[in-house]
Amino acid sequence: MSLVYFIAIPILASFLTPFYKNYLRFVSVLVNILLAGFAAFFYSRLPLNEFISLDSPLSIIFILDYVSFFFVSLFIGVMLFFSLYSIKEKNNTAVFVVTNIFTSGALGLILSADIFNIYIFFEIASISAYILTGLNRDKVAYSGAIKYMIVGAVASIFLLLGIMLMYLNLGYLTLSSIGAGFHTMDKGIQYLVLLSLFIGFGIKTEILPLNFWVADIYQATPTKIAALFSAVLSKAYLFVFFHILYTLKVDAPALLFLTAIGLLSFAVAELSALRSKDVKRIFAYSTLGQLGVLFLALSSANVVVVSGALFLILVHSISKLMLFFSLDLVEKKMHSTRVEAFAGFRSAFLFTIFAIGFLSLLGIPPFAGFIAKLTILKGFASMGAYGIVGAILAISLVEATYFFRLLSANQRSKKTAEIKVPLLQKIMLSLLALAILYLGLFPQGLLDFCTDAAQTLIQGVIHV
Amino acid sequence: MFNFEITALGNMFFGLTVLVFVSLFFVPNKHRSVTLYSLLFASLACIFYASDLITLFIGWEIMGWSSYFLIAKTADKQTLQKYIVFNIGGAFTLLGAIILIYGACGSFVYSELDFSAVPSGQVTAITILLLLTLFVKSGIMPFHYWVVDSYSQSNDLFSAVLSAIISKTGVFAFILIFFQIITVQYLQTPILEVVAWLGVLTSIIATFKAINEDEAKRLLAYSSIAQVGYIVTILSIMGSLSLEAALYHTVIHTFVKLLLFINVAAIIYVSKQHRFSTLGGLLYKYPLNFILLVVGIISLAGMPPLGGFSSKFLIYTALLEEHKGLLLAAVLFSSASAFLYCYKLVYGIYLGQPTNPKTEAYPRIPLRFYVPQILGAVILITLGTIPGVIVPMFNGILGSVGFEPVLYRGVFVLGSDFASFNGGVVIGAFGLIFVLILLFFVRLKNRSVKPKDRLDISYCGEVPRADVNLHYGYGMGRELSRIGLIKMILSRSSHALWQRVSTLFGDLSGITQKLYTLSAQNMGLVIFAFFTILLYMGVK
Repeated sequence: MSLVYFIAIPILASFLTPFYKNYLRFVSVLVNILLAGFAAFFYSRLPLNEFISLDSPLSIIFILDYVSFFFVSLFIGVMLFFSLYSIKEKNNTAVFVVTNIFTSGALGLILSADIFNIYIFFEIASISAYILTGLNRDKVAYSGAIKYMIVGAVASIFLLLGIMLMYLNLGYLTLSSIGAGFHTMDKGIQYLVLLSLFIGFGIKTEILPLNFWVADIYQATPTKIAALFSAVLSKAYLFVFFHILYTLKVDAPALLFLTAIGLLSFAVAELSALRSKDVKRIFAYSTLGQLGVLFLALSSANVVVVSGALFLILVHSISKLMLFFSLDLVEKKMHSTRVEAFAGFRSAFLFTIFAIGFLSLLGIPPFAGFIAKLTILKGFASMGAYGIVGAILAISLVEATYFFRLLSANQRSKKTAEIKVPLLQKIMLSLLALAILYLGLFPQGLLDFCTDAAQTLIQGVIHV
Repeated sequence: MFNFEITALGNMFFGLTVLVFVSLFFVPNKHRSVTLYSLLFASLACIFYASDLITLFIGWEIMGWSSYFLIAKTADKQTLQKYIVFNIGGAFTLLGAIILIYGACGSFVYSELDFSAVPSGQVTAITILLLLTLFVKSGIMPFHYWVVDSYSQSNDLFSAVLSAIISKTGVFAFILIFFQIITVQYLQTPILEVVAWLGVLTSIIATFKAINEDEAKRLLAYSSIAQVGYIVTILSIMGSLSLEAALYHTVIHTFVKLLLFINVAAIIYVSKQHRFSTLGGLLYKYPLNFILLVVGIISLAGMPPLGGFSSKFLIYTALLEEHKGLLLAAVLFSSASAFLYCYKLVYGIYLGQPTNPKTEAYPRIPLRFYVPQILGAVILITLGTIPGVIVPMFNGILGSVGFEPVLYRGVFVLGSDFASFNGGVVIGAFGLIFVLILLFFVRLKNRSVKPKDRLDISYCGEVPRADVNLHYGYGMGRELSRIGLIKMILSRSSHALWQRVSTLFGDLSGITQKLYTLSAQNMGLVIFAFFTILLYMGVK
């Protein structure tokens, strides 16, 4: 059994599309089930290193430790959910072709432990994301996709700059050796490397001030795909960035800077959502806000906080899947994602789903978001960083205002259309809602795993 | 997660909750949502029986959002916005305080919290955060902004729950936290002084706002704020007698507000009118409702011989015992002014000329409206006659939070060594006087003249037209605003302040939203500019 299968199988499934063009949706489900099976197989064998070639600079190393396992299983889960959810969409072969490539890009990003492969998968994931953005094939979609591509290209340039600088100065590309040698480099070069990595990944992890493009992209993207961006893509970049950062053992002031940026990012994003008139944009802002929180929590180098952040990553992915998929149903019926359209639908089921998603994102018990938030705040309290606790709570209040505004808009206005949710969608969305409730009531098992994962992440990739 | 403990204090509040919920179950209501009411009930149980702060917080939040969905069916946009900002904000300050306590003591469990090694600055910060939470829930000024609109706009049944039970969770948490967890030796005296005065100022201002109010439910909402204000004031004295007085007043106020809100709800149900200026003259139409209302307002005003007097008596004696003369004067002032709005309730709804000529067509009040009212009335009358009967319960609570009980264990007698009264004697004397006066009026009745219809008052000098508002409760309380101080109180409102905050955030949001519409070229510029700035900073 090799870790390569995680990357090879989905990409192969896409390339072989001509053989089963009309059945790709079923193949996608099968692929994801297969991947889930692999993940289950590897679970008992953690942690795992796999060297494909040892000769530098072409060495390819995959690592599956607790933290990458966490992300791998999360992404496979999300993609499996996505493919099952859309299994009835016969005429949408293009989506499945690209999402499979997208899957392998994201999984590759997580598993790679050498910086050259990280760049390759970074590009694979990004390019498939540009294509996904343009899938609606209208003016908005194309302009969004082109904008995304331009900004993404800038990000790649900076990332490449950072990688080049490291390779020029150290002569190797594996994360573990770079981690060991990083501090032997000249201080100025170190700074430049970190700066280019920060800019490159900062654009992709959507933090201030590098995220001004995001809301437009989300709006141009088909709603269900936006869920994937929010649940998978941004998380993958986030993980890789902090994986590299902790491996390089950056010093405290740099981490502090990232914390401040994260907090600022959170504040500005939530503030922007306050008066937004479009639900999809509001969800995009909310994603930006949550990414800000994650950024700030992951940069704390504290096991409790980071484990809370990992928990939050899972919960946020589930919530955003739920919200975007439900919004997709609303959009199909109302032909718009404006707040007025959102206010006009009638469906007790969807309303409940939205309510659970919002409450969980706000960190309100008894939903899982609360546990994540509590763990993060507890961790900051044990570090004595009460200012951050206060700031997070204060900004969350802004978040609460607009989420509840949406709910009350729907509860109070005249309903114009009744939405009948198909059975499959109903079951899938209920499963997500139940997962959020379950994790809110019985979080201990997952929290323990997150603690292990957090330790692995903070330790970085060790030289072997 | 979810650790519970059965305590005497929890039992009392939970008992009140059960009585209120069960009696309200009988009241007809078209917005009955079993799920939300059960969630609310469960969350209240969670709050009252929690044994750690996280369980308390979970209950607190579930209470907040399940109430939100109950209010959201009838309230308007702005009210809901206010409700959310204040209540979620209050819950977040509670969470902040809990996190601070965790940072200081390393635990969430009540019994493991020890503040002896915590620096006093941190304890003060915790105290202030907790107080903010409680002030929001109990509607202490200036955090009362959400209360009146939410109480008056939610459906009639839920208004009763809000006032009778949910405002009391603030009181419960006060007793729990400041009497049991952070005990008095760690509290700063100036903070307690401020709390005492905030409470009493709240009650004075709310009383005058109530007097000036034309809508029955808004009047009751202001009255609720005022009454909880007394409770907070008396609690901040932190003595045994004051704690017993606060508990007594909590019980009384719960039943008074249950009775009054349902009483008004019944009138609204049959007449579809909410305002005093469109009601009036319903005495002969609904005599039973009138009598129940009178029982309620006598208790609300704290007049002998009903239950309200017992609790007010304890409040006064507790203030006297601690030599808080100024506070006592303020409480008495507010209490005396409360007569005016109590009278307005009687007057505006039941007495005078009916404003609406169609009163005859109003249907009967369904019997189910009487269940909570009669429950309330029976308890209030009982506590007036045998006020000592629930003292053992209070003494038990005091014992469990570590205070020495001071009230006598009598049945008719209520009081401590400091002062006491005999409820049986009081009610006997009042009963005698009442019967004498009643007999006098019964004799007079034969000689009085009955008008033929509502416009048959031409002997006043002039024949009124049908559209003239003949109800002399109309506009009552307006004359009060000629008094300088009261005019000032009435004209001030925190509305402008909160409105400004809201506008500020809206404007900020507009500005930041613009940023998110940058074109790709400008985005590229921003990225390179940011890179350059950071590079420059790094080089330096």
